[in-house]
Amino acid sequence: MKKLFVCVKNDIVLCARNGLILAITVLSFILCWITFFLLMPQERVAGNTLASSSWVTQIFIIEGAVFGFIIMTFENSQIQELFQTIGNGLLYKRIGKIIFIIILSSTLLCISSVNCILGLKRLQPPEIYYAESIKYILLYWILPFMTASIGSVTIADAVKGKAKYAVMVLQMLLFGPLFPVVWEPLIDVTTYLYKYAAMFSLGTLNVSRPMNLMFGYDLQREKVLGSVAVLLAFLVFFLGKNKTIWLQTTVRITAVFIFLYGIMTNIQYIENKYDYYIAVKEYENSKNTLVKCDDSALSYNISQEKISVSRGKGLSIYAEMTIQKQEAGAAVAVALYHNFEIDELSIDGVSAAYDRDNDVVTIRYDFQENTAYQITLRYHGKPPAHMYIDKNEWILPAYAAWYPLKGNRNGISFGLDLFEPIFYDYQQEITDYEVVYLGSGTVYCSLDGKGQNKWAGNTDGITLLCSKWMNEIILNNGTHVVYPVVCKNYDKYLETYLEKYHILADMMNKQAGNTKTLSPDLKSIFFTCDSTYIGHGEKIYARSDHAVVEITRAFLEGDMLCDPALTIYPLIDAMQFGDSESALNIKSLNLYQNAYIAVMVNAGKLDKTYQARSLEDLENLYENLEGNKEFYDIICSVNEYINTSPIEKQYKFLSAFKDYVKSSDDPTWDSFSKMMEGLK
Amino acid sequence: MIAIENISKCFGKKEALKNVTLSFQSGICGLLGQNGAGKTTLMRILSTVLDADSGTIRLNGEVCNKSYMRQNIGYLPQQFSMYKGLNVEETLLHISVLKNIAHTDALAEIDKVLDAVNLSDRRKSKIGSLSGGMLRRVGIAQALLGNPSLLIVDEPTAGLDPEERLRFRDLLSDIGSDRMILISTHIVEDIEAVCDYAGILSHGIVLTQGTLKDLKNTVKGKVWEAETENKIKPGNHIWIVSQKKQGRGFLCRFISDKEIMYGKGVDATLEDAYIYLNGREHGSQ
Repeated sequence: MKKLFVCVKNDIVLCARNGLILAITVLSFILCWITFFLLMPQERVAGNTLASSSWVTQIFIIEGAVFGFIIMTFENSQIQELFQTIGNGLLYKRIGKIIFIIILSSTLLCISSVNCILGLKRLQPPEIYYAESIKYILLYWILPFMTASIGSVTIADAVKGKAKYAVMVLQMLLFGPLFPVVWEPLIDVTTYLYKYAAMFSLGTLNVSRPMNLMFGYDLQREKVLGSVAVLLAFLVFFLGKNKTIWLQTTVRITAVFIFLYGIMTNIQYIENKYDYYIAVKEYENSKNTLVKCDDSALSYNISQEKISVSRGKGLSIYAEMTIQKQEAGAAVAVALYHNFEIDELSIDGVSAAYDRDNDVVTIRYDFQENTAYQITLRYHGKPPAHMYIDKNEWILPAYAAWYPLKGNRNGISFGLDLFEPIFYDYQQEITDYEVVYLGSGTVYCSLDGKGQNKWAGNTDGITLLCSKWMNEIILNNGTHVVYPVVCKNYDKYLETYLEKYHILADMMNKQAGNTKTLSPDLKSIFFTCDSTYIGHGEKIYARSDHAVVEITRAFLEGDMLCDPALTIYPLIDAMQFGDSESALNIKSLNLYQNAYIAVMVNAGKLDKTYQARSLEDLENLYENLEGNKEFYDIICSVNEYINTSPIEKQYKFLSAFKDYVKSSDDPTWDSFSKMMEGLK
Repeated sequence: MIAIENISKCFGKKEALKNVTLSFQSGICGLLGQNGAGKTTLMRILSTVLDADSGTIRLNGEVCNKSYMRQNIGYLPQQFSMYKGLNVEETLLHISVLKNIAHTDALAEIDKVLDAVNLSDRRKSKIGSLSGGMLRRVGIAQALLGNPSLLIVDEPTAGLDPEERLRFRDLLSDIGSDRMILISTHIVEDIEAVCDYAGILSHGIVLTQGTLKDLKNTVKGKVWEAETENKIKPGNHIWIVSQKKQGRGFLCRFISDKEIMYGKGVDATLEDAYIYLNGREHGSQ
């Protein structure tokens, strides 16, 4: 022990007397400080936090690599030769170096953790963030630092001459999370590589909880496993030097295998992410299309569906549907998110043929009129990327077709960059559902609980959420609410929010006709935090008995729950989306939202507090925006019409405009004029 | 006493040592040979840096394994280097701990070895600030720690200026009084100045070994000096030692197995013996 102690102590003394190492240490401290005290509080938007955090990881890797090389420059081959002749001097020196790296990494961990805790104190997040943040620092900052340091020590020891510098750069490229982003401007690739890099670097964002306030992304086990394997390989290789030939060969072969395993794990991780991303992008081209099938393929009811969810290859799901076929035919069409791979499909216990076109599964069978069939599907896979972090963190919202729904339409994906197919299963009737979850973790369901991880109910959609990052409360009126732990004071404002929700949903249903997506009678609500990477705003996805409300970071405080942006605006969206079979034009929708609120205020059904932005504000916004002259004219025209027309005409206008908004194209003056002509 | 028996070592196809057998009794022993003769390979085998392919080493009659050798030797490599950021005392303390010397004993021993190498006043100097000669003396100091029975010193004076070289020879003579020292060098004067006993190694083979007198005796009566108008060309059984310009001609020193008519016999030196044995073995003249 004393020998090791002296070796470590001398390495520390040598480092303390080395200017470059001192500079690296100071840089690390400054980085932590900037990250925790300057960037985090101000740049709380996930996207920015992501970038800053991943750059810190990158810099820690570079620092680790350089550090490893520097401590090996203290010790040239002559010194090593001398230590080789003194007992087990060289072995002690090697172990001492590793201990020194571990001590230094632990010091970095302590400094970072203390900074992190102080930074978090200022933000006052829930308790869970403290442990998770430190876990993150350990796995994404310190582990890469250690891997890079020990890797460099090994390389500097094993590779002689200048080749070691090339190996060092290669090592940093392999394990640096941002290298594709660094190269991107040089090789002028499309945004694909950028996305690829983002996924490679940061993994999947978690929609079921607000991203870690400090870091914005989740721990990726495969990535950590890969790093640990590489670290282990370096250690084995390093410690196996200068042993007898057979022992050295055995050790080196073992090290090479462990190294390859680490590299393969990393590559596989990247490939999976990339393949998934490409698959999603390809899917984007086919979204929202109807898959051709016989009319009879949809002439059935699902009377009962038993679903069992377990873990394995993502999620493994078993669904047993009892359907009542109304017409005879050779097929039945169901929607199931395309990334779920079907392992088994049978009808009444007999394996059945099926075709698959993205999200639509057409089951081939000789179906008879007015006959009941039991269709069983066993499938596995992952839901859309941002809905699945790992086996303990996922959300399966009703709109994601994670279980077979009646329909022959591919999911609709909204916005510019959404990976989220939304299934407005207009054809899905109320069904008796039984759901069982067989895995571990804390799971919430929109159905009524019937025991440990068992639920049942009569509904047109089920949401299942697994996360330890959620709070759950039952309101006085019996509504079951699940919301992210980071949300503050939600318990104080949820009842007011629900009251407003019910009033608005009721009003809209009366005004716009009953839509399935605006249920005025919610039994449960799931609040999920958005991710700026995906680009969502505030949205409400409702079914007959529950809703998934997507909030942004602006709505983490309970008093923001009653803001129009989280009540009437997303409800108008939901009303519009609910009646639409395609993505809506954002500009038109925005104008419709404001026109709708203006009309309702004029009609005395809403007070002005719902009007976050008046039509005049919208006019002013677009007045000086270049390239929007046509849309500005349309806004002025709408404003003038609403301000000068009697209320009946305003209603009439709303009704006509509601249909006009269903086009996904940008509004044009010609098409708008035609719509206005119709009103006359 | 150290006995090297049938040591062989190959690097790939190259045979660096071929059945080397040497034995030295005590005192300061030299291993002489030209560059590439295999001296450093043999020194590295003795100091356990390298493993021999075959053969045994006995120290004081005991067959040595690595552990035994490491406990009983002090080693100064050909190019000695130490952590530039540590001072002399820190360096020696570091090595003392690795040599299992207790901390209290270590401080006393460091005093002793620094005194022996005449570096007591530089104990707080950084290694990076020492001259080549001082660094070499630190090398000797570290080798002396633990009072080893055998000191292995590889090319001790290479790269030193003449003054440092003389000082270093004196140092070796001083410390060689109470322990065995094995020196490898290609500089004949070093051997002549400090060694009692020497072996000559060439192309991995031991040409001869013995006291310096024994070695010189191998050329006794065969060393000649002659004044010539032109330089002598080496011929059969003639090995040139030196040809110095003198007046209009040259003063040639050469070795010949046969009696020479035109020169006068002179006393043999170790260098003469070295050239003669090397030339005879490999046919060079």
